[in-house]
Amino acid sequence: MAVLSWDSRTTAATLSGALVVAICGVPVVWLAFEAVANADLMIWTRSAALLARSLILSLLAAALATGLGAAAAGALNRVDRQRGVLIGLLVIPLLIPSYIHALSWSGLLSDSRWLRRAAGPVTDMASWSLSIWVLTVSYYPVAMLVILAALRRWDDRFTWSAWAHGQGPDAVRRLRMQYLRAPALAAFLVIFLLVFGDFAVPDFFQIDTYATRIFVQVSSYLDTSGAMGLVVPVMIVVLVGFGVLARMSARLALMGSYGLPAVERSPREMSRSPWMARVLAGALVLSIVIIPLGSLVRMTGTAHVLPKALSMIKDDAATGYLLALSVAALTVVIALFAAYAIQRRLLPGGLWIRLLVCLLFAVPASLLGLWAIRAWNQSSLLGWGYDCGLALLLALSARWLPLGLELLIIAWRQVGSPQEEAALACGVAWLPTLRRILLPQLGPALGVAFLLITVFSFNELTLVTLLAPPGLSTLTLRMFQTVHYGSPSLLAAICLWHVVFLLVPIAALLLVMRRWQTRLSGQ
Amino acid sequence: MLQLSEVSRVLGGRRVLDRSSLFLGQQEIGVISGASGAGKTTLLRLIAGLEPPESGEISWRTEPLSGPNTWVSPWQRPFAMVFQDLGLWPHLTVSDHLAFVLRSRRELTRADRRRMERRWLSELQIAELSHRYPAELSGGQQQRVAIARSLVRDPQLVLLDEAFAHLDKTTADVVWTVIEDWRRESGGTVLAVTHDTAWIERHATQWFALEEGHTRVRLLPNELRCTSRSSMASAGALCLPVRS
Repeated sequence: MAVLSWDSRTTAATLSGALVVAICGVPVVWLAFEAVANADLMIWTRSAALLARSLILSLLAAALATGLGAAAAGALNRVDRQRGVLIGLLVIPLLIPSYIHALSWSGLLSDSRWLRRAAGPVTDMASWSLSIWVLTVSYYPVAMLVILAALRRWDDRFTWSAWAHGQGPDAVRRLRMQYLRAPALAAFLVIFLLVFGDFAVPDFFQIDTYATRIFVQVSSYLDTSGAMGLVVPVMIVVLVGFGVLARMSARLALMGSYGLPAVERSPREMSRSPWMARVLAGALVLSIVIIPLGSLVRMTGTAHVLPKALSMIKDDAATGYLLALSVAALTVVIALFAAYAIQRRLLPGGLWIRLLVCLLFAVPASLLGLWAIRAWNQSSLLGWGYDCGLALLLALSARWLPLGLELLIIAWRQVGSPQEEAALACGVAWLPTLRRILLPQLGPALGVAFLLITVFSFNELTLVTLLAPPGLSTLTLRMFQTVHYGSPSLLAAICLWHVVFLLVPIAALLLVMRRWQTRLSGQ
Repeated sequence: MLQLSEVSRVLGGRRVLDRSSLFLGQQEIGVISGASGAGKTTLLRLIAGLEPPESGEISWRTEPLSGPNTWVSPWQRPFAMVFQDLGLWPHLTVSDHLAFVLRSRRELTRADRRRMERRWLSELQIAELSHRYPAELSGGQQQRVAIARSLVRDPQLVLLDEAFAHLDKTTADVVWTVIEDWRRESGGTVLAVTHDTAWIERHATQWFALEEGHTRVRLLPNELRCTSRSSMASAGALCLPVRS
């Protein structure tokens, strides 16, 4: 559907497209330009060890997270009861910021003697193995969700057709592995890019990586030029990873368009040791979610620390929420119309806009912060934007717009144009059609996008640390300061409150969304 | 009357319609037929305003709707369309479907809207299904909801894209009687896509064949019988030059 005339929907599409380009396109172009302008062979050769360290950390953590995610997905796929609850519990680590994982696991290791013995002599805070494990635990749900979605699309007919052609169980297993290779590799690349840009965990364990070096260069030495000198290798790694991912996504889209909906497992497949799957999923919940959170509770020590921490952080938490909700509202509205324009092909070059936005997601947040500092803080014309927090709001929006855009493109594809066209062809204008026909069906997707962007913005540390104007303090900022200057028990108490502040509204929103979905599908 | 002059449309690099022309008088029942992928649905979508033509002009009662410098949005055209895949709204009940369309008719009072809704529900024999959702209806019932939703708008032209495909013969006859009554009562026009030659023979007053992107007027069987060109028909040469 491509209508070139000027009406309410083309106005909305054009405006949202322009906003996406302004918020995401400008930083990408600027970073590419600055990278070329600051290219310095000397700095690159000096930073070869830094690059190797960052790559090894990212590759190992991504490989381990993909493996753990695949195991969890395999177990969840065979679980016959309470699958939704188990998925919800196993996704929790993705919703909790990685620095809380770092604290809980380091606390767990230092508390338990047998675990320390098992981990070997490397028990100090700069432990590589712990750092890799924490990053694995923080990001494995990405692989779990992607592989689980692929497994749910595996149809028994594939197995039957293999049997019909005289193939045995080994051949079916090979077929399944081939089928899962593309989603697993895509998940691996996404996790690799997320770990490569993660600043908090390497900083916590004092491992020098690109993300930490750039951050320190800007925040401690106020040396943006020095930080810019490091941009080129980071951009090359990001571009290579993103290029492979873009190729993979075309194949994944083809697999998706093959038209197999998620299928209910057949009783035959379900009967294959579901109890073992339940035990494995339960063990994962216990070891990855419950024990680390228990370790935080243990670290808080006496009970009076919790109320004390709450009185300290309540204003910061409120500010953090306000900021996160503003970011989510702005981003979801822009993503809603931009996704509509791209999916319905109302914008020329929609695919390029989508690629540009996703590329920004692959760039570490510290680079995005660097751009925002240059653009807002060092210009007298735009200085007000930095002072009032607009720079932070827009940078956070740019960071999470790709997530909202991709989620809503999928949602628009599912709603499809026939329902919209049926309303238009019956004489109903576009805005009432949007309000009464499209938005109610997009509700769950809008809810998920809003929820995820709120959570990730609430957890964001790098951009908030770099761009928070004087006087603005959020929970993450307070936590970052406590890591360096506070007591461990106070830090653990703040982390616990952070988890409570995150999970309680999420649970409430999920309940509302479930009701909404029941209303939609309860016909 | 509906007039298409030299309308072209390219989809995915393929010229689906190539300077097609069509003329349909008021109160007529036009039928479009053609092989799969010939552009029948595209032609209806162009008329409904869901797609713009690359070139050419579309007008209704001498008012231009689509053209080089003209564009009337689909919701501003006095048409209604019944889609092949229906496009029912899964979250609305049958009566909500009609109420939603009626709400855009500002000239009606609330009581009139309610009366219209009841009238079309009973005409299409779906009054007892009014509180059901589309997923709770059979294919034929869904089709009747889609037709009721279109007629409740009180259009001047109804576009039917394989509208009777899911209906058994008895139901198709009932539904067609409703559309025919509406046409006689309101002076409306119908343009339908169908392959059912028996139906075309019984009801159509104009028959257009789409071949390689061109619209050609076909003689209807009863017209053929009245002409001395039956030899052409037996030779399969039913196509006449474009009438523009």
